[in-house]
Amino acid sequence: MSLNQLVDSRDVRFVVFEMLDIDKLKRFERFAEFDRSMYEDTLNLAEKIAVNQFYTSNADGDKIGLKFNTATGEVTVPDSFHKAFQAFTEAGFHNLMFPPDEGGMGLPVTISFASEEYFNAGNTALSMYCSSITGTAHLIINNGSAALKKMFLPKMIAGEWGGTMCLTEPGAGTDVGALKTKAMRQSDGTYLISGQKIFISNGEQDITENIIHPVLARIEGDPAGTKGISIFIVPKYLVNEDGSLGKRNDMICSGIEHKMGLKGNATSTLNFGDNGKCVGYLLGKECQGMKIMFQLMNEARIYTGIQAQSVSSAAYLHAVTYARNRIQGAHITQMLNDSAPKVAIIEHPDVKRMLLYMKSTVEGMRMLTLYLAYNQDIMLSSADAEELKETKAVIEILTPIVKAGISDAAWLVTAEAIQVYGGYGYCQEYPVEQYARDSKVFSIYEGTNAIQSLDLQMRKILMDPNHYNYSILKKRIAETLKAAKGIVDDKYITPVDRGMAKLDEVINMMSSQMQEGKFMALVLNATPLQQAMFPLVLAWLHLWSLTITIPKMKAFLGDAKGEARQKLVSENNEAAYYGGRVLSSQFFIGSEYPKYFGKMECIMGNEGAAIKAVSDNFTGALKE
Amino acid sequence: MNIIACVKQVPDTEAQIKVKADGSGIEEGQIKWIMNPYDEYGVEEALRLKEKNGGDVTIVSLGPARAMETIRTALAMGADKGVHVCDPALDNADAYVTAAALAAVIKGLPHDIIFCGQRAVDDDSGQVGPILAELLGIPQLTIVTKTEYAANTIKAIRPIEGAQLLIETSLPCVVTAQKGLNEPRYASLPGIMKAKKKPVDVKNAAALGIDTQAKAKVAKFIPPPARAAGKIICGDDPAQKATEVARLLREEAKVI
Ligand SMILES: Cc1cc2nc3c(=O)[nH]c(=O)nc-3n(C[C@H](O)[C@H](O)[C@H](O)COP(=O)(O)OP(=O)(O)OC[C@H]3O[C@@H](n4cnc5c(N)ncnc54)[C@H](O)[C@@H]3O)c2cc1C
Repeated sequence: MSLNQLVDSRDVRFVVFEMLDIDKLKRFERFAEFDRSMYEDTLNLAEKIAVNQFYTSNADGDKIGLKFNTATGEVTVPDSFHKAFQAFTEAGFHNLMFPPDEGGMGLPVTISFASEEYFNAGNTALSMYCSSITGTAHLIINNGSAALKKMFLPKMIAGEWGGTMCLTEPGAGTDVGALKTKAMRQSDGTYLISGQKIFISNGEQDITENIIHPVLARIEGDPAGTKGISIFIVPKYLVNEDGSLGKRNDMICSGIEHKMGLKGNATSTLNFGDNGKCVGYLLGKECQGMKIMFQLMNEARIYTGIQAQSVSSAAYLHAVTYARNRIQGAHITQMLNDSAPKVAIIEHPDVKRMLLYMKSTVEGMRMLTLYLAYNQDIMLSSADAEELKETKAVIEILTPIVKAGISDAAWLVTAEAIQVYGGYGYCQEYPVEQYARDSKVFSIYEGTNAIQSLDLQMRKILMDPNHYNYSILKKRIAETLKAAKGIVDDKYITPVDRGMAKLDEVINMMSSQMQEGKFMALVLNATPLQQAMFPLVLAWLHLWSLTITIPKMKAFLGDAKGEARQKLVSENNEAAYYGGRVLSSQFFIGSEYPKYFGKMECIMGNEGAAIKAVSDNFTGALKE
Repeated sequence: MNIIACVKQVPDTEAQIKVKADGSGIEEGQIKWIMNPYDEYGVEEALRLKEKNGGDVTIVSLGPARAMETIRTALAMGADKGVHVCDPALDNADAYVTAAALAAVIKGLPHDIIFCGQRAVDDDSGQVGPILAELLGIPQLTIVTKTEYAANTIKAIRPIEGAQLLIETSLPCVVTAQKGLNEPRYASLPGIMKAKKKPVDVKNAAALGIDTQAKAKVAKFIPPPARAAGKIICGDDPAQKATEVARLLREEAKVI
């Protein structure tokens, strides 16, 4: 654990060891042997590889970018990506949480997410190639026949073959059910795949010798829509009996996108079966494609949240260092004094406000994703039916908030980093504009945030029997409110309490709207609801952390004020950490979160303009 | 082949070092500790040698309890076992006592080649490797950037001012590693898991039968002077400003 420009390692330790108290996972046999030093070693290794290999190649992805060879359909990634990828897979991070009997380490998801933050903060475009192995292999582990597992897993576990996920087509973006890719049964049990997928991340690259594509397609004659979709494993190179590479499958990359950001990752157009010979292997049973892919989609949604958090973290830490070193203007209290010394911009109140906004948001994101991870660990380990039921509810309701809430906030946090840098932030010579460009897609892919919001509002809350998911979230928040009494000043407890009451009101209103068939009014509030619940959840987590950080801070700082306090903070890193963490939570609950009440007022207002507006009302724009 | 790599735990080069108020040492509580980077080259070289010729790699470290982390890091990279010399009486060990402790351990182990870092980045003394070789009565190849092994001999490159020396000696010997020797590997997750189960012998001074009395003592730790604030020379006339710069350089900075 050291200082770096990517992730506040001390804060990661706080969330993992102090807040979530990961040692409690020892009650499950699969984690009984792990101890803190093991987790520390893992996080330190992630940090070291991320700082030395990922961070150093991040600008290459953006500035050198990818080369596409139109003749061969091959993509060349920047040189520095190869070494970093190798360091990642040789260390075994792609297998970190797989069960040991599948060749993995069996480490907690919590440690996996915490490690992922380092890699994605270092170079998120590159991290996607790395995690593609994990996602695709996991799909095969959970759903593959013995034969499929034998064909693909050994090389994937060894980190030698990459993966993807192929859903999107030109006519089937958000509406996956509209896909046209076809599959034809063959007498040998395989299928012939034909069609085109677009926007496929990691779709082509020269890092791994083979790429394993899970592809959604419809078997000829199967029903339209999502229920007729099956999923196939389509390798770039076919695999021989002995596991070695066979001949090239009939699929090719016909182009890559030129994008705003994430330029190091190949967003590929893939043509399957141009010559009628593309072999695919059915995963699971026919027509189960959506159900199976949902597992990967859920993982990918959470991963998107982690990407967004990581890029925000790097942008934030860069902004702090810049603000400490950029001298500009005198302190505001010396405004009228021409000979006043110039100060670092971090001394300006508005810059401090920006930094606290970023700090408290990034720390909130980290608490949220790691809390979700911790619940996944329980989910994968517990044998207690009640505990499992509750844990599942927490994961269900928080997943769309992780994906949509964090990705929306990442765009704002990275933009704020540019603002802190001023004009330099807008220039490519400085690193923060890349973070903003890289982060934009997180609100778009893996199901746009509109879809996440509908998922949250409809599936996860309103249509959930007895609003069970919601009731468990409320229960968890109530526990925090109770624990905070007497430790945290009421000033920071009451707003969260009030916020929960307000949320009840809104959800009751929405339930009635559903019963009354006021469907338009209802869905119009899906995104506003998601955008309100994100700061509410962060305020809750900040309140929870205050119950730990306040006593710690007091132990270090006592009642020291002014210069005495400043001295303690500058002499002792731990005093500075806890003091800063308390201020961050106070800032969030006191300055950022109250906007929630305005958002809730918007929802309760049920403004109908967006229902009434028709295409023709948007005058001034061309018809086509 | 019996290969030994000596490692020392040192403060991270990124760590902000604060000297204790009474000058008796540095504030240790807030420091991240790492393996001395030069020792890391030694460990890597040891592992490569083992991979080529077979044998095993033993890590030897002198240090307080926390130094065990560094031994584990080397084990996670692939070393086979460790010896940890841990004794409060050795907390202020100088280069001589350190080398004596290492020598006492190594005498009890079969050894064909011993790697050290050319110096530790904390005290920068650069003496432990050479003293160790003397105490063991074997040759030393110091500040080495390239090695080549043959049966019972080793050739090494040592850069010197404007040239390189090619040195050859017989085994056993001590080699001290310089930057450029290799690129150390990362530990791996399976390596970290396995490291937990690899044997590490913990020994105190009495067990080694060494004199813990340091020959050199650090009288006081003094932080480097804080950088003085710069001086901005104001005025409208460039010639006058230049004259002022010249005057300051002569009279205050005394450099011209
Ligand atoms: C860099 C990048 C990487 C990608 N990687 C992959 C990948 O690896 N695999 C893969 O399969 N796909 C991938 N995609 C595709 C991505 O998932 C889609 O772009 C996304 O699902 C949206 O589809 P679309 O672009 O067709 O937009 P559209 O579906 O046309 O949506 C346009 C707008 O309309 C809204 N909208 C559409 N339908 C509805 C609705 N029913 N209700 C409310 N609003 C709606 C959307 O929210 C959006 O704002 C990637 C895309 C990008 C840009």
